[in-house]
Amino acid sequence: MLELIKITKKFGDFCALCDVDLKVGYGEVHTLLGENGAGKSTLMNILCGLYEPTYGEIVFKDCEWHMDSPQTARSIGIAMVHQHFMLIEAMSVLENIMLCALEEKGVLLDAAEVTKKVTEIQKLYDLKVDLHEMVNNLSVGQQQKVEIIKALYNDAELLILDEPTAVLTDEEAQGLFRIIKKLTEQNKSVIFISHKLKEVMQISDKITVLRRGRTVVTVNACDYSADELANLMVGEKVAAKAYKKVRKKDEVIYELQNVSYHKQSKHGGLSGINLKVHKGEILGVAGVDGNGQSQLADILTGIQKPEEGKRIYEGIDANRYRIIDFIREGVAHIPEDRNKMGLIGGMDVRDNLVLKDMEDARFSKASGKFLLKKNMQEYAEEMKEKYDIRCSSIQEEVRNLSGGNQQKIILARELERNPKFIVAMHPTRGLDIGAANFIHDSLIRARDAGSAVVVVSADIDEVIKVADRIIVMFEGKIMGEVPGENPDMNKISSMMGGKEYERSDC
Amino acid sequence: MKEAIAKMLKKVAVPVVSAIAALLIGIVVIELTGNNAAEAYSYMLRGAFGSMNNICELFVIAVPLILTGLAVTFAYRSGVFTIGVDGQLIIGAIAAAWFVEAFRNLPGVVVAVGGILTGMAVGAVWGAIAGALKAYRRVNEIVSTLLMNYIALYLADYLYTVPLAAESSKIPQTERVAEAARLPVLVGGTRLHIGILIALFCAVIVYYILYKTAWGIKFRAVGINAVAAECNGISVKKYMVASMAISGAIGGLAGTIELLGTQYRIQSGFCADYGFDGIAVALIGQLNPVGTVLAALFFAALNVGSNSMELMTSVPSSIADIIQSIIIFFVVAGSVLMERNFFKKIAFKKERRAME
Amino acid sequence: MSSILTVAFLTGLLVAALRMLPPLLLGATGEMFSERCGLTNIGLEGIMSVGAITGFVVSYFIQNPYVGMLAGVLSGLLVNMIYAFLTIQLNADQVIVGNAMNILGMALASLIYTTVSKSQSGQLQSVTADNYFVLVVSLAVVVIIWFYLYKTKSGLAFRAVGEYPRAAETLGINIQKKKYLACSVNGILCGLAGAYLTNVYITSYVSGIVSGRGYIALAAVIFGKWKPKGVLLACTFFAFLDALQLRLQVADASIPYQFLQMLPYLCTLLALSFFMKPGSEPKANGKPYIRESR
Repeated sequence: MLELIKITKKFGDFCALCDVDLKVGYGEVHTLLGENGAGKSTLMNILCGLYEPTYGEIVFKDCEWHMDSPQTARSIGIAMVHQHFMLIEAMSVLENIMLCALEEKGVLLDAAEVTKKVTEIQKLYDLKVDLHEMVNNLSVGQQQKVEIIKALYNDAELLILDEPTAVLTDEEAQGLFRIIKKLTEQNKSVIFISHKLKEVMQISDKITVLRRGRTVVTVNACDYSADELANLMVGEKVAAKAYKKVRKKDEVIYELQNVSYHKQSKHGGLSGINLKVHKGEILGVAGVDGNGQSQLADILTGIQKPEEGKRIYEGIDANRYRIIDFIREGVAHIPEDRNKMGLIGGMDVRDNLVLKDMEDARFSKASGKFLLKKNMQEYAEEMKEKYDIRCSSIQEEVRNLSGGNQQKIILARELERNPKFIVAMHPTRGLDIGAANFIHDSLIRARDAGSAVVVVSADIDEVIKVADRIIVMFEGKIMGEVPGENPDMNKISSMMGGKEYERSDC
Repeated sequence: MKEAIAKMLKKVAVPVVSAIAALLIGIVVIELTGNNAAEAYSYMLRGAFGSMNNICELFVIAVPLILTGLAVTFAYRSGVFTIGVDGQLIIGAIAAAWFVEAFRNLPGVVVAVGGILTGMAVGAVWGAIAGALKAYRRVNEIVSTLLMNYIALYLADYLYTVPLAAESSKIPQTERVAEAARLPVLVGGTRLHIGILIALFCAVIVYYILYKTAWGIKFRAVGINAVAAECNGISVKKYMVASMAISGAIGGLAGTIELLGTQYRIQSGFCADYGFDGIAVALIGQLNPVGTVLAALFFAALNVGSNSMELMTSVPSSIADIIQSIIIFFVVAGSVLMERNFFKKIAFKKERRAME
Repeated sequence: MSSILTVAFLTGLLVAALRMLPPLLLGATGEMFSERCGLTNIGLEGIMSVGAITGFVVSYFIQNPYVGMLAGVLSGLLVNMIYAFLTIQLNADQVIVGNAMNILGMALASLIYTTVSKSQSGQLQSVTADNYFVLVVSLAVVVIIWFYLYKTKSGLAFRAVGEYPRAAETLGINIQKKKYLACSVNGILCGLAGAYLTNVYITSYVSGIVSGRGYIALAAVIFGKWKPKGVLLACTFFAFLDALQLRLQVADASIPYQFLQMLPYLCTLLALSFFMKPGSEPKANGKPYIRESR
């Protein structure tokens, strides 16, 4: 049905896609597999007309197409369900669907006609949604159904689903897979983008693995095991550096007792969290993204307050602590989104480095009323050396730096305060291996110096690499715990899938 | 050092080019009204700089522009896009007028200082209301300050029409400020008063706060990225309210200085639209206290010059406003274009270099 | 107090309110339309000023108020294209551009008036148009806008742009075209609002004739929750207050009319701060849309 020949897309000098080939047959579920930044999204944006390829051919149903806009893609029957839904929340489901019927004849909206056609689609594919409900009142799973209805309404033959299960509950995901089955039965094809191996194995016919903008291989799903695919995806395994794990437990520094926050939300809340973190250990928090990890970090750092339960820091009830109180008491935070939460993009390296310490006597007189620019300068230069921050000068605005260097600035700022407790969210996401190792080394060093560290990561390998103790989160709950030394992988993956185990000591 | 000069040049380039371009368009407009542009501009120049008296007058006009420009600069730097300086100005001035009238029997200096403090305090409260509405009720500050401008305007209108009206006057206005409480004149025989020193001092203070203190970094951090600021322990809401309070205090100061130094009484049309001019001034000054002062002086020259031009030729003085608005258009367009092409390329190269 | 509650007073009030209504309604409807597409334009006052002076000058020379109003409409359309170009093409800050539009519009009006009046002698007067013609037109405009927004495909697409432009783009909607439409309509309606003031409301030009109507219109959009019906109600209410305020100024000086003048703004502020649920505002309102943000 679809053939891509030598697709290349460059952003400036950077080659996001290089000579990518892809063939999709009729009635086929074809998965694009690859890590973050492998080029999956870029490829799909080219297919649905949002980006134009620098060069390469797109052949769809034996015709070559010049995909210059989303309409072209839609008009020939390619539809995309974006990871962030393209739905208008202030409108009803029906209005959203009518928005993709704009090219039909007539000037006026014909609600009755559209409803008729939509109801047929709903029946055929078992897509139950109330058409008159406002979109912002729908659950994420239902919103996804609306997106699929929109695609089918436009007679899409090829559906592209961009990480569709990332936001769904297991049950909803199974529902989605049933819908995908029905689609292929009607001889429609699906391109499925994901990095979750288990579900990829479950529903794919063919799998194409992308790595750093190139196709590695296209295989039949049934011929390969999950491990083999994982190896293809990541590429030649760099021998993971082994860190010495700590087993003895020091005193508890931070404790959560039965903490809940937005309980009813499975993917944006916490329910009944019990947790103890000891001095001098790294606690790894594993789990599929969006199972309450962000909220856990928010609670630990004071960005949010628990709605129920108790937060005890250094033996003191810290329920009412604000962010600033935690900072003063030695809590460091390496946030999940460094640009959004960590750094002030329009400020220079120097100001970002001292952001939390400006009132300190080292940097200012009379606690902040007169900044000692020279001292700040010297300190920043020192940090630039120590943390190997690569920038043209410390006066450079941090938004112009690469991700790895930005992360090092945050690391320098947080670790230099000799924190007692560190929360690190996805500390190496999007970074190259060199930068990632540097960050892991730094965290281990902080642990050895007596800090308690919580590392949250969706990358299970990262958690296993650094953590002395691992807990797994699922739908806002902690499923269980395994030791960091020789962890039971089966147990971890079943916990990530929602199986709960007893915990002896939290 | 070279880099610093290049940086400076880049900052100055857009406003200067815009001003020149707008003055050129001004020529076309003047010719269209059937006048001689060269003649008009020469009168304008003479009007602004022709004599000591004219130059002093220029500074008199510049005082409120500098202050309203600083009020806008401070708020914008903290991420609050206020258009409420007009309201803060009039409400501050009317409060000062009340103070000056109520305590007229005290020594002049006390009355003047008290009036200034009252004006600033009331302006600060007025500004803080909008800041608080933004921080705690998520009301868009552009809308709230716009609405509050008119509330202030009509409130002041009522106050100088009824409770604070001058007794022997036919039109609604406040009593004239007593001689003793007026701001002392700097240059004998002109209207130039110490308000200009206050305004310049205020620019220094704003610069000091924004760039030399921890607060300044925090205010600017809130302005650039409120979420990150919050995560780094800065109480964004408090800083928002504070920035609007400071902005309001400067706005109130602008009104009070006008009252005590230049106009001596408040009546209909008192300082109308000075706040809006302040936005233009701040913008052309690139939201920098020094730039703001320079832009205010330029606008003042334009205004003073065009007034005397109107007397000598038949070119209406509103040409100054037209030039002013065209400068804003060019500055806005120019900064966008700079950001888009020029700037992006540099940033991109830098990133490459940093990665290698 | 009882002396003013006479039938004559009330009918007079009603008539006055109806005379006040068209400029408010036209301006507010235009602004609502613009904001539904994501463009906040605080420059209404300026556009109205241009419409007022153009409408007046043309009608004075031709001695036909309808041609005058047409000219006002065209001038509004034209001058708002500056705003359109800067905000749509260059993604410039809408508030700053709108602010400059106000300065430009008022200065332009004053410039034109001084230039023209110097070449003529005596007080400039034009002929008046029918009192209710524009009222009917403005009510029709509200209905047409409502119909367009909620009953046509193009209108649905238009609203999508104001809510979620990126989604609209993937649906093949031409965002720039919609935004230019928004600016055109807003310019036309504000131009007419201005021309009404100098051709119907009074038949001469005085400086500052728009006197804040552009801002009341802005308030009415918010008070009317960005909906045609709401805007109509808000404008009627504000026009009524304005009429009452003027009457009271004449009739009974003991009631501070300034508080009535203040009321539209106060009501809107209070409603916005305490009574309105967030979310009535179009989501992408006031935000520039930058394509291919990578």
